[in-house]
Amino acid sequence: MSTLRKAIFLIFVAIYLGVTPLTILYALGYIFNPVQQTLLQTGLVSLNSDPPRANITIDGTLLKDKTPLVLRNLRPGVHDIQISLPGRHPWHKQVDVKPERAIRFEEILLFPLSLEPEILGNFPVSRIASTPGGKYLLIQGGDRTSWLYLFDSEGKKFEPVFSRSRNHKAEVNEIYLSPTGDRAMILLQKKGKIHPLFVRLTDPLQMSDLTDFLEEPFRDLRWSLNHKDSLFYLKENTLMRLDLDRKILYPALTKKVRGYTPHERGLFVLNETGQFLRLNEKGKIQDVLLDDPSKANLIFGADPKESYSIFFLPNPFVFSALNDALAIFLSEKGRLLSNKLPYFLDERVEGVAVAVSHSRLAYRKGEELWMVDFEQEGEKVFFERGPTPKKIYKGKNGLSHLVWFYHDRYLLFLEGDRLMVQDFEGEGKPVELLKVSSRTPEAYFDPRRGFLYFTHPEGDRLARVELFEEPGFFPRFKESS
Amino acid sequence: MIFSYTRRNLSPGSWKLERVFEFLPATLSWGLLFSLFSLCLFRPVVGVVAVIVFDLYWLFRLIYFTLFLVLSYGLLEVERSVKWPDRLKDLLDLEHAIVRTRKRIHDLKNHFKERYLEKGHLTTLERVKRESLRFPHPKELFHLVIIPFFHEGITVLEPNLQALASAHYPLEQMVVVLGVEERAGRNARELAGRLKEKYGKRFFHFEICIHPEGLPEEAAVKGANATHAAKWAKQFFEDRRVPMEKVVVSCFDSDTVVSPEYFACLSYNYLIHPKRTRTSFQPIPVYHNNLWDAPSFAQVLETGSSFMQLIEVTNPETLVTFSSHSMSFKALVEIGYWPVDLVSDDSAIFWKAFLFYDGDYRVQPLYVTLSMDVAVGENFWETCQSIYCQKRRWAWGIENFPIFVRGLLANPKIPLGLKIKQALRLLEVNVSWATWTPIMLILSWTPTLIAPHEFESSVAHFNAPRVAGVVFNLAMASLVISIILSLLLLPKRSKPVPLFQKLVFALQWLLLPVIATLFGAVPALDAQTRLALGRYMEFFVAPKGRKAI
Repeated sequence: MSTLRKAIFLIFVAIYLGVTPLTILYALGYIFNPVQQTLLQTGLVSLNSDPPRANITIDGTLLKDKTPLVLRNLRPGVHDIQISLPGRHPWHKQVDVKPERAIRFEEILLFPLSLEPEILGNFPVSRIASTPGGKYLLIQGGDRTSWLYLFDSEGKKFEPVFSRSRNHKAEVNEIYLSPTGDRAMILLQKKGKIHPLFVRLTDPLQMSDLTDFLEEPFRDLRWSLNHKDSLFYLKENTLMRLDLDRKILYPALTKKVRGYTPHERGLFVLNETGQFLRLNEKGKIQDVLLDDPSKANLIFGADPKESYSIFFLPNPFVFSALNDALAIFLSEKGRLLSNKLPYFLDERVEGVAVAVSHSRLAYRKGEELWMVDFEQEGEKVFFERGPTPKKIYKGKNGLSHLVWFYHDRYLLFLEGDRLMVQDFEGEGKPVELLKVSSRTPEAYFDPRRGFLYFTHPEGDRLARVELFEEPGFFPRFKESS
Repeated sequence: MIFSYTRRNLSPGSWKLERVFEFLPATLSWGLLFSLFSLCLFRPVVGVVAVIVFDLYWLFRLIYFTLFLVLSYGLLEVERSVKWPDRLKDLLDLEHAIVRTRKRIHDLKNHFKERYLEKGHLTTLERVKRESLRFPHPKELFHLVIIPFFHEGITVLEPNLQALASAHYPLEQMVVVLGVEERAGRNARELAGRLKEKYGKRFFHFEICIHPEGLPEEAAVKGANATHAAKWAKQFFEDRRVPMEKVVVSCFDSDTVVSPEYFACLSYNYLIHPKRTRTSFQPIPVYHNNLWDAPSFAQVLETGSSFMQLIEVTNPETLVTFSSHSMSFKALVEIGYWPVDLVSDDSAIFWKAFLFYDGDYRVQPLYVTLSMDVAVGENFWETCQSIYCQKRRWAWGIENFPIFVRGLLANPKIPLGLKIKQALRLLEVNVSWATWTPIMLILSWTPTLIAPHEFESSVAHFNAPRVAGVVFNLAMASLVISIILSLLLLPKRSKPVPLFQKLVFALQWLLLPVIATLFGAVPALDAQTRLALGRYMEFFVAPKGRKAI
């Protein structure tokens, strides 16, 4: 027994010593190159598409396997990859495979060549309002309040918002939906005066008139992210907070505000004295993040009256460090700035679309569409430059309604009456998905359910198409053969 | 060499050395887990390489173990049919026995199993003859059975004595000593009295030894009780002028149920062993007494423990005594009995003997089973608690490491290579015990699950889980073999076991990876950490529950 055991032990040791290095080499992507008689470190491309089971062509060779697929042991160099499915726009990319690196294309949406819209109403629509977290859409059929409907996307029902209200002859001036989508502040214009109306989007609707609390002039209304019924706004340049539920107007939070944004971690305020502050919701200073007028002048411009819109980008690498937060500033004059390199991003910017789950940003500048990806590693140079804005499209016919969707992989926008989609990773021109009403071009994408709502060219009616089915939490991958 | 096998009353220098070696196992185990985790987190590619090295090491080890498990199981099955009393008789007339055995081998041409057994027996007989081995007459051999107990009930103790009384061995050559703890109170003494009344007259002698509470230098451990009983036995045999080498002592846990062949098998193996007084004899413990009354995770765990012992016995060079076992009484007396202040008396006795005989001490496996109890509580959680505490007590065997290493350092007669081999072996077993399941089950997937974002764009990020998956699947394949063997090893019930229950028993093995972590690695880490922190354990009597017979 002892001899047998020793012999088997030695055999196992020998196998282990042989298998382990080979397994490690495999894990690191090494293959044997029979031509050069050397080891070659390969790269890898991970592909997944929606819908799945799409054809994969690599360097002109159609593979037997379909998506999702991990292409292993790819030799370093440029590879031409195409994903296609009958009846769908193909996806194409020149991929530069590098040794030991994995490149992921796991959110490839293959758009249908033709979409069959579902018409949802029989009246013309001039505005579609909603928020990603919301169950309802607010649909405005005309300027009058009597044409404002609550649309339940699950039940596909329209409910008039003001059917029994005495406001039914007022005009809708502006709609502010809360991030959770279950509250709205509707500004009604009646006899030249603004009447703010707080609406809880429940069944039945609950409304309260706030005309006596929210006196003009006010601007830049923002919902609190921590208290559902709290609303912030600027009265001239003073930041105010209003509790809509208890109808309490708090004392001024801070003055001389150039811009502000509510955040889960408090209120972030840029003021005229060149400070950037974090306040709590009672206005108490928590952090002074910038307190240098000369630096503020350099970044935000010398004009202290120039107001800014402020956005925070999600930073997937950072969970708690405030100093790592990524803030974007857009001035009323169109100057686009960031709190990280390169600080100054662009000018004459007209509209910004902030990604929800990635540190990336799209903006329009005249007829051009630009994008900045803060997640991409900048070039290693002595004087760091930070990420560089990249022009991704030049249109002809007026761009509007920018929105990121499908894991922030695609950018949806309107070019005139054409609804376009631009792949963040793919190459070439954007795909025209469909045409919307040229009279009232409107579009809204519901990220939770994958529906795209728009105004149909025929009769400006509300319509929708399903762009993708709700993706599974864990995509499954097969291995390349 | 005489070495005080204790951690008490040490000189300042020895105490420092003891503490250093007490720190070492926990430091290595935690260090290994933390360093691998840190590598996976901060240097994920290096982490992947390290995890692959460990995963494959454990995979091969598992396959290697499974191979020997099958082999050992085969040997156990084959040796079940040996008629040990006949073999004992053969020792009385070697010449004729050899001739008879040769003839039997010739007659058993087409009976592989029987032929294999007879060939083994013939080899032994020829060796005994060739070496002119002198051994006591089997009729002169005494078996001293010491059963220390605390507050275990009659349902646990009586089957033990019943099994002894049913042994296929002359009971007039057996002396049974019930070691009763004084602190267990009157009930325990009364129970011992009742048992003596019922079984006492069947053996050569039956004694109840009351172990007084609070003897100097003693801790509340089983070894102290057993030692007290053994000291009484020494006087008993001296009074009857029985030489110590003619006495084989078996120290059994209270729940031990020996197979009828045990003493005949032990006697044969003792007599034919050239160094019988420098050898312990280790049977295979199986936990079958109350297996069907225990919850599923406990069944899996204890069957796994039996398997580990089955694997261990295939390698006598590294075998260490465990649980109930037997040894020469002469050796026990010479080395100064069991340690009276250590919890893990079963393994400590081996290390103590190893040091005393300057490395010339071994364990001889016996392919015969002893059945024991699965620790069970009143309910599921109590059972979990009991099993956890029992496993931690087993893992507390690491308390031997610092003492044993000090003993090795103090002993100039043991060859350096043997010292290093034994110390490393003891350390490796315990560190592996605490780390292998966390590495295979958790750390294998760590680089993929929690590594930094940059790692997601590396080939290793994609390939590591694939390697871990293959390793895991192969490990599970070896588990299937264990499942089959566990079904074959199942104890027979008076009522036939329904197929469904057998199926459930088989399927619950799939829980093994989780169970092995919770009731294997965690108690081992707990025990090692306690040792490092100087929070020494006292003996924990695992509650053993059996339905009344």
